[in-house]
Amino acid sequence: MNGSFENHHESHQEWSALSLAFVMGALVSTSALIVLITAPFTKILGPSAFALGAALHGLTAFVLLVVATVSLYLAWRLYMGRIQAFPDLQLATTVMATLAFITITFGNWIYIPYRAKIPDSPRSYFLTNMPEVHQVFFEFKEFTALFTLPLATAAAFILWRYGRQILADRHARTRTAIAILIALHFFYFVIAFGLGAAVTKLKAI
Amino acid sequence: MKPAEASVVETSPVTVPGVPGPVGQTAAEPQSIPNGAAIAAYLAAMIGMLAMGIVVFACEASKAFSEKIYALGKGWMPGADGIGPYSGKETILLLAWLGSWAILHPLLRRKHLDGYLGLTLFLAGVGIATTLVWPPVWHFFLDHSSK
Repeated sequence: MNGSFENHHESHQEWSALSLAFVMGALVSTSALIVLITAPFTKILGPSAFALGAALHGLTAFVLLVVATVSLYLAWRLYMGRIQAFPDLQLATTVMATLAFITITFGNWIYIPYRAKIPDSPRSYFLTNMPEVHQVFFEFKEFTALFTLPLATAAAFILWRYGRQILADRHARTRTAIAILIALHFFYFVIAFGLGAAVTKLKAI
Repeated sequence: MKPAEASVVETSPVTVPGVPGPVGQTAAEPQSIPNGAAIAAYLAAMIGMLAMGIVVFACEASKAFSEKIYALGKGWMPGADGIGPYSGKETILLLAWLGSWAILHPLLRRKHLDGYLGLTLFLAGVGIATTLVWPPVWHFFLDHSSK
């Protein structure tokens, strides 16, 4: 009786997650289709040949900000020994590592027009008009962004390799290490995200 | 199960402070994994970050070294011509991170090590790496060394 109830409960949860994903997918697809058909979507991306790359870099970074924030909260729960959504943390750190890789890849792509040796490129503009923006803030941002990938990957690897064993008392320091990895990932990512947004506001590619 | 792992069998239900009742593994479940694999993972991440920090600083100090790092990136990375020595710095991070992980993982995975020492080394390395990629530090040291 009890087992039957649990099975029903599990299948209901699975069905709910699938239906939620389906509803979200349908809503996003429908909205995107309507916008693409009825609105001048390319105008909002801008005239640059790298506009799509810049938009995708910003989009993946924004999604990473959301996932990293959720992970930071779950990492705090893990550190305090009060985590219940353990599989969610495993999934979230995996998504963090994947998104960090994708965001860095798009970042590399749009770094090409940023540092192009033409007077109108953002790098040339900053070096002429406000050199500190490039020489301090952008330089720091481009390196801290790279730190996010190994940190998230290490956190995800440890969580998957150890599974729920990480909740044992003997792995208390490893739980602390995971919390630190995720907190540092968040720290470096927020620096890169904030400075990227600020630099783009001053001079976009 | 490997012999080294057999020496660390959990003998009682695992509990988490603050969570009522047993959580996760019990004596009937597989044996506990030593913490060496976790320490190898985060130390390798730190080594990658630190290696890149050192290379970033060295590139600022030496134009010739920067050209060599650029050549390293151009050797494999698509679009490296457009992003300059940054491609080589990324390459160094990847090589140092994944290379050190490939070495540390098999060395440490069956060992239960001092997690406090591991974390201390990790945080020290990350602190140094962050300092090395903070541009005012390059400017301070390189300006003083050129005087």
